[in-house]
Amino acid sequence: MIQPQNYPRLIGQALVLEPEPFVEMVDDDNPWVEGLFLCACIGVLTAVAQVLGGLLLTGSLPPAEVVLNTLLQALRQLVANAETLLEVERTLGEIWPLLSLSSGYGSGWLRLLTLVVTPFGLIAQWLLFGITGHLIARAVGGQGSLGQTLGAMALSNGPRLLYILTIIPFVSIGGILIHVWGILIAYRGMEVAHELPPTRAALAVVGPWLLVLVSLVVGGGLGALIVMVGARV
Amino acid sequence: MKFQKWLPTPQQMSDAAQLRASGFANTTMRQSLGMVVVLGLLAGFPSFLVNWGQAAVSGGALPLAQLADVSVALGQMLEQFGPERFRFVQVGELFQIVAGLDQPFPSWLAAFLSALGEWINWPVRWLSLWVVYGALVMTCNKALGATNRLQPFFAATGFTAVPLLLTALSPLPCLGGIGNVVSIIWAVVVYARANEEVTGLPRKRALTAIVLPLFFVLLMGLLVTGLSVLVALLLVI
Repeated sequence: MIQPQNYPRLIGQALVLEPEPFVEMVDDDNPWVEGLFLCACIGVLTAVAQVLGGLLLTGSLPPAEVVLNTLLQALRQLVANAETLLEVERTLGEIWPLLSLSSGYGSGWLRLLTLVVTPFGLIAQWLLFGITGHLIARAVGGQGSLGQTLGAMALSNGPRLLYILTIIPFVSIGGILIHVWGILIAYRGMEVAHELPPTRAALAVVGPWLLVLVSLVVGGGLGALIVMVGARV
Repeated sequence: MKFQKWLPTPQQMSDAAQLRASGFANTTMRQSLGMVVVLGLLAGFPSFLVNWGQAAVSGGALPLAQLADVSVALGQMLEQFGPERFRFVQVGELFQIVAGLDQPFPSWLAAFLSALGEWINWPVRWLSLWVVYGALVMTCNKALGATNRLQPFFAATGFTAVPLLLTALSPLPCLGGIGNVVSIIWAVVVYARANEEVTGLPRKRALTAIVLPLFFVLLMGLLVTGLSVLVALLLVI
């Protein structure tokens, strides 16, 4: 069993793509439980940071309702066409709560939802990519068990700890950095857990992302088609 | 915690900046990671001081102050080209009004926090460039026949951060601009040398591996920008 006080060392080593943390995780008696606990810890830490960051952001900016009212007043002077004005006001009314919730700016008690959504979202994503990656790895000749894959893949969530920095308002951590770094770590994890050569390990890691991308494109296309057909009818 | 585990020696950094092969050898990815973060923080420190001052004078958060300044200039420019029924100048004035609204925190604290956030973004941006662009270059390297591992590649290419230290001059008028241009060109040269050294590929192939992702990034950028402009135009007109 890996002691939680070893997590910082394991994550630090995984971030620089060293093989030791993956070996340690794979050799554990319950790798998927370790992975689950590690994901939960990362999820809770980043969620707390996001909530505190949202509070500090709200304190550093003018109150959200005042800003929204100022925007609406200005829009009434800016846009001459009544129909366009109505449309813009409606769009702003729909977008504002979403922006507010996602940034933590003036979202009130709703920001506490982050404490639940972030850890569970992270665990769901870890399971989705872990299981899909495991299936692909086995299909291309991998030897590891599902528990070992999940244990090794949990370490690929290490870059998410950068989100702790968002406790400081206006710090922006790009999703692309987190995902690409996570993919590189997962690639090392797959190599170790399944004893795969580099190309096959890369396929097992990139495969789930390609599947998600294809699903999004197909889903988006179908959605757009339905909207267009609906608009004509 | 031992610093030598997280940072290369100054001699190694100097050697790498001078494109000597010895600079890129015997460095770990861990040391490169530490170097990118530390140099990013050092380079961003002068801007942090300037930003803090600018935000404190404006009496609020830095992004609002910057947005107000930019939007006024942009509004005047767009007024000449934009559709008549939309008054762009007033958009600039609107941002000025928003920037002038009071926030719950004292203005010095809001100014400090926002400037601090912008400072932390420096090493984060450098990390993004190092990891994301590095992953693309490494993919091209593999396609072009390189056999090296990821760790030595990232260890060597992290030295690109050394010439980027010149961007610390950016708050200075004139000299800042020159510093930025020189640092970017120098960084590209160091990156090319590091890639060639670590992959063992012939120079032309090593350069191709560096340039190809640039086209990919430009293409994606154009695609996203084009789509954004299209959506914005559809919304405004």
